[in-house]
Amino acid sequence: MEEKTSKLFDKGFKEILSAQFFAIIGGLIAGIVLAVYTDKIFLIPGMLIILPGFMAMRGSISGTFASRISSGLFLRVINPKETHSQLIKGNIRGSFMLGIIVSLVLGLIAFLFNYFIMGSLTPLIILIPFLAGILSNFILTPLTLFATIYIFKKGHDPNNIIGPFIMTVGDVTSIVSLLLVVFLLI
Amino acid sequence: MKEKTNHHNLKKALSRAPKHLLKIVSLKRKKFHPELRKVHKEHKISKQTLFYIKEYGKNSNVSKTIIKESIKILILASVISSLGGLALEQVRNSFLSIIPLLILLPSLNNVIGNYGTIISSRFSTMLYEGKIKGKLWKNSEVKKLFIQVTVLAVLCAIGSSLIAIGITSFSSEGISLQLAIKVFFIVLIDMVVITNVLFFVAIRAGIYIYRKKEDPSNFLIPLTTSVTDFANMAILALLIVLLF
Repeated sequence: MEEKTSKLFDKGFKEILSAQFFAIIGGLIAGIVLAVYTDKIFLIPGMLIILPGFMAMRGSISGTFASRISSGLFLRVINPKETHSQLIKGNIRGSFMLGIIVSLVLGLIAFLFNYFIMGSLTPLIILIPFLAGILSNFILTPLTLFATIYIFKKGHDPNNIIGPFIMTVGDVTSIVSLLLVVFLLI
Repeated sequence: MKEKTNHHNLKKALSRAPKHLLKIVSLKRKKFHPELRKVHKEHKISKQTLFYIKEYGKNSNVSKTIIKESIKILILASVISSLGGLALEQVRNSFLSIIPLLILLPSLNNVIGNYGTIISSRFSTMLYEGKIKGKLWKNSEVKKLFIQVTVLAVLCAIGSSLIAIGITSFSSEGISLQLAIKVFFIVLIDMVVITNVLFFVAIRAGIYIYRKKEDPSNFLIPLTTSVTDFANMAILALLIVLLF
């Protein structure tokens, strides 16, 4: 019984638990920012449509980026000391482009939802996620790469840690980027 | 010696078999590309490593491969997430007035989304390492991952809701005991239900994608995060309508 429990609450479990604690704290910081600036962020109709998609998009792109780098590191195809390899550069380019394309698509979806379902014409809703996407890309892509390699070098499994870490940083970055763009445009 | 005889017998039987049966036999050989099998045999490099190189090796355009494989699922994920957002937009006024839930929104998305990423990437690695064989519910690694994720979901639900309630109680708005209890149960139900749904989605989709010879990481993470987002928003909207 004791052996079963110790097997369940192993290193991986503890890694996930500590990462989730970090995710909760980061999410709460983003949530407080959201609660404080509710009147600004939700001023434009449809922002509640964009918000979950935008946060998820950032997490998905950076998460898959980190997962590919992790697999490469475990399979020894990526050398942790060589961050300028063609494989890593290609990964960065791919993630960056994906971020821009999907941000634009999200804006278009919100615009169409607003127009056809709510009956309001808000072209600004296309520009906001697009600019916020570019801004958050510049912060998150290099951060994901170096964090994944650092965690791997420290002897931990990046799969257990990097996801929560990126999601958390991604959420805060997403909300702050959106807020900055809203402040700039309105 | 016995193996050699069996192999010989099999060869003999195959030589006499009808042509259409031979076609079925040859299907198995296509599990990996013939060149990949050759390199694996000659250089003793694992097929999984070779598969990764096939996807992102020197002769492949890495960024193009990533965009090509990820774009469809990411756009689909955006649409699904936006639908979740639309559900929340319908209860906009009620939602924005429940401060602890507003504070918890990114945390909930984070924590639940993280399970998506953890389950997806751990399961992808298990697939690459060839650990997924036989019946899934009998696989000790999969079982362990499921129990770990469920226990963690309960712990995180308790922790995050208590912190959010605590933060709100210190704000100028304050919070009643009734509201605090409602928020606690909304978070607990939301997290446990979604984590379990997520687990089954990730595993089913992961196996399907791996069998199609694609990198599961590129599909699973966007898929699970969007399923999570949609389900999270939808369940939150539903619970808000039911409880407030």
